Amino acid sequence: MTDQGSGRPADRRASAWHRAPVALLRLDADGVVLDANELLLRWLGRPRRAVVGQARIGELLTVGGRIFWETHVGPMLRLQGRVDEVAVELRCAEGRKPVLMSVRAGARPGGRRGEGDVDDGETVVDVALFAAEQRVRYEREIVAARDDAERTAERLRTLQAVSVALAPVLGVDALADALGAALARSLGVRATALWLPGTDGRWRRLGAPTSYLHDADVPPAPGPDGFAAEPDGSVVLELTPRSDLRGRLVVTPSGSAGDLPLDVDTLVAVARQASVALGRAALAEHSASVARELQHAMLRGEQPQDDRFELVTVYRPGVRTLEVGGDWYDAFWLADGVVALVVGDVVGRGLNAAATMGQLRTAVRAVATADLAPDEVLDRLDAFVERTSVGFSASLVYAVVDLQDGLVRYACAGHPPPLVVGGSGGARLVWGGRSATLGVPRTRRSATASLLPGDTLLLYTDGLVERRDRGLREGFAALVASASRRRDEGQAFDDGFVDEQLVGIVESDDTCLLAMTWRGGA
Amino acid sequence: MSYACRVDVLARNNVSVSGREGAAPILFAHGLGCDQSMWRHAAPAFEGDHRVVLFDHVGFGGSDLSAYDPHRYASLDGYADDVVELVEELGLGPVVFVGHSVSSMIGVLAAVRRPDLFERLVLVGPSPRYVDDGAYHGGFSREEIDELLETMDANYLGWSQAMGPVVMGVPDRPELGSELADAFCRTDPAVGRRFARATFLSDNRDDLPRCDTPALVLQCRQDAIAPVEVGRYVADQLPDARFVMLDAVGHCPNLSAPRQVVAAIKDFLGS
Repeated sequence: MTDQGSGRPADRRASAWHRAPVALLRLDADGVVLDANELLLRWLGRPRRAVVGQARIGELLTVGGRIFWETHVGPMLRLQGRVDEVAVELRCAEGRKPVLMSVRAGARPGGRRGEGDVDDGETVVDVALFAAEQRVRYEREIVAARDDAERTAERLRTLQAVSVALAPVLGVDALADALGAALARSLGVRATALWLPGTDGRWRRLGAPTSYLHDADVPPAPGPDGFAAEPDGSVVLELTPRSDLRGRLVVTPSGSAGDLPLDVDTLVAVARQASVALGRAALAEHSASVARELQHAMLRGEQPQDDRFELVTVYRPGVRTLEVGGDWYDAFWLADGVVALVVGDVVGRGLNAAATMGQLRTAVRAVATADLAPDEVLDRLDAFVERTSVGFSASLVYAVVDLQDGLVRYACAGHPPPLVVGGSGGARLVWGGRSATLGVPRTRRSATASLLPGDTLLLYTDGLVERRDRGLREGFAALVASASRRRDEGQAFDDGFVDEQLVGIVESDDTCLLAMTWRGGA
Repeated sequence: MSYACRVDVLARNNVSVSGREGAAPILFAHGLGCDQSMWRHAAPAFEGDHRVVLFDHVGFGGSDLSAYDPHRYASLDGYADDVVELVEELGLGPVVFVGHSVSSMIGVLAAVRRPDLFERLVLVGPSPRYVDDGAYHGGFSREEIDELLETMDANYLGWSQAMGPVVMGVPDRPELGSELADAFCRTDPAVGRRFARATFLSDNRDDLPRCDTPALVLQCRQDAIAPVEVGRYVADQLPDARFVMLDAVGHCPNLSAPRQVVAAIKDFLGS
């Protein structure tokens, strides 16, 4: 070293290089240290002879920095000759030292042209390292804060996706499916299994079995905190919708190397949402089964029988929701040889609708007499609706069949028209006697239709004709065509007929059918 | 295959095609930390007698970042799927696939999936697993890999500021345009971090024996990322592989010793 301020300019520059307040390194193209200044050697705590001409840059860095140099810094240096402000750590005598590194590649002054591939012989690499403890600490805080914000945003996105997916779900099975799909989409998980205790005390698993955790008969146990991590990276969570209902959720990650481990905080929040949804789904299933039983009990009553006609009734609960709708049918004697037929549909679903249906069904029986024309029966039902506030906006068709002559008198309150299928073929909708749904003040009207022996009168609810993929007009046309064909083929108007109408409807509504075939008055 | 689809894949991966029309196709795939410019010293040497195809993995270089799906690219399989799609869309017939670093394993995965699309494989600095595992010596402990991921995190800020806006296509910072128009190795930092995880934490040892495509392993005599014994392991495990040691150090002989790399590949293809 030369004294500062003395000697030739080149010596002064060399001195300044060695005494610079930043650590400086000169490397050859392969990363071998050609020279190092005093500060760098002091940081490293190694003698010059152990470094210069001996060490490669990679050995001076921690392993993360070494890989980063090889994969990122090196290539950029080769391609553009410079890299700036890379954060790495030096392996120093006192431990790791965070530094910021700027690097330049250039021609060695006076260097010879090398024999190597890309004239490496004349390339030198100058490296400047700045101590960056404070700055790195500060940046780490920023990075941590950013990661935190990203995690929070990610968590919110996931929770929102789960919320949206679970909102329309009514059954427990559908809940397991929706939750699995939502978590696969948002978190990329491989499998989600929902475990519930069955009535026999054994566990029941809903969801795809894709790992040993899912194949077992019993789910793994969540810890005292309500969750536990399994060896395969799965997370088990307790679901506690009610004190008498507990479930477990097992979420298995994709296993892809690049995926981050599952965020337990997110899953705990998901489990809370799933608990609420599970409670709701369980309740909905319970109430649905009560309503269904009620509905069946009410519809199950005795039906009129006679040699002069044949009566078939079908009730098909909808599959779109678990809840029963308020569809009903009824048939009862008004007088000897005179039968009343009713098909109706109250607004709403579930227990309420079932109860309303029961009341309205009874009301029809109470007000109907042989003396009253169908429009008068509707008038009285309007009065009943107004007085009791039960059954507002319900639709129904009321038909009176005289078994002697086959004359049908009927009225439709906002209800699909009856269908008459000829005994020898052909089918027609009868569009008379139409007025608005119950409770809406309107002049009621009756109409008549004549049956020939062998003709079938079909009353039904809109589930039989409504489809999302076609208009009502097409629905009616399809019903007429299908009924006509069925008669030609000698088939009955029963369950099979309903099935035929519902083909291709994935989420059918409630459907009711009443078919009366008049054999003649004899 | 529809034209629209073809355009999509080619744009997604920023594909560039050069060289002799109608000649046998050779496809170069870049590794971690860079983009197709990593082949700028080697690929032109093949333009005389090959159709030369370069591309960027999604998230790197001039690729379409909007095509990035963190779940698809959480494992090397997603990238292998991309390569298969790309070779199919090119419609040039089976290709010679030259993969650097992690892309050599991506090539193996793609060839296992669709052997009909790959004539030969050239694997530059391959490693099927970086983390030591029992008798297998990958070169790194799990702790060291975690440390690398930390280093990448530490560089997130600096790199995202310099590279992010260009990669993300933010148009309202024109002052970055001229400075970075010629920038190499553009990487979206978040993508790079995830790619590093997928690269350094995956284990593709079991895929090697399933790859029947004739392969060439190019190994530097000193490589801090993929040590010599790992390169030999790859050549041993592949059913039909040749091992060539380059007189070069480092992990990127395609940049530091392109002439040797070119000569070795030409020798392999001529055989």
